[in-house]
Amino acid sequence: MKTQIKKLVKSALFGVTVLGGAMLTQSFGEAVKEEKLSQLTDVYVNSSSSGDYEKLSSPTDYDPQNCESPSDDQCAWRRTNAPGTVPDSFDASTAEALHQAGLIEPMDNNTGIYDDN
Amino acid sequence: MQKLINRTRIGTAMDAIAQTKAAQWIGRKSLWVYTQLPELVAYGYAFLYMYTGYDKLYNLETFIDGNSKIPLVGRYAELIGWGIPTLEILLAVLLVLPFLKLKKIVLWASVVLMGIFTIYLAMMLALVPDRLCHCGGVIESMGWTTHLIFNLLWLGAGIFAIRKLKKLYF
Repeated sequence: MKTQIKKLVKSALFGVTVLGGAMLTQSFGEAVKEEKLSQLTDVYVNSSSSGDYEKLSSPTDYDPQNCESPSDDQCAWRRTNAPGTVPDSFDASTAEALHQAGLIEPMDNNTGIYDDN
Repeated sequence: MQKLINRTRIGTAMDAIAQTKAAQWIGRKSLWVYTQLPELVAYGYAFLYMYTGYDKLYNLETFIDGNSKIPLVGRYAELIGWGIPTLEILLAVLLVLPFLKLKKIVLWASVVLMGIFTIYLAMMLALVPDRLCHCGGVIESMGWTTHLIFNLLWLGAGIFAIRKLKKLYF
């Protein structure tokens, strides 16, 4: 009986640890995400089906769920810390060149046209 | 002849290693891990569902907004928005309760839910060019194929755990 109770308590404690760990991991991830967002400089979003990019007025406005309409082009690029100039708007081929030069990098895995309306 | 002697020496050395305390300890622990694998999978599911469920509730507005853009299910966005994270958290809590019969039933439900998520992912990957995933936390940042593989692995692990639990306790 004593051993059984001990086993149950152990199991319950482990369970609470697992659930607590999951919540802590989520909170940590959220904090990292917010930290990253606060460090964002410029974000350029795809505004047409041919892959034309325009600078967002505020980088924190970027919402990945606005990458809606189907397009194979990257939905958003962000400015890296590399020295150089990036225009406020550019097309897909310029985006590729800027990426090759290390001036911009993909914001995330999303492709599509950015629609924030 | 020399080769034979060398082989015997290697064999004796390996026997000696296998009989050392460290090797025996590793063997015992490996066996323990194997027998506890179904339980570990259940705890893994609990962690996963608590993590994603909590994340969805934390970003509820975004989650509901995202759901409203999914064809067919969009009209139930609010219901799904509250329902899925609540269900995930409920399953996570029930999975860690130390009652084996309940654990098996809840594991079944968890695997079914994982199956539904996997079917949704596979359909998105195969049919929809404009894909949406509001899967919660770091899982959302995975590529679609990686996400599908991740789900399939969990699905496999869940089925394995159910079968093992059945053999062990029922």
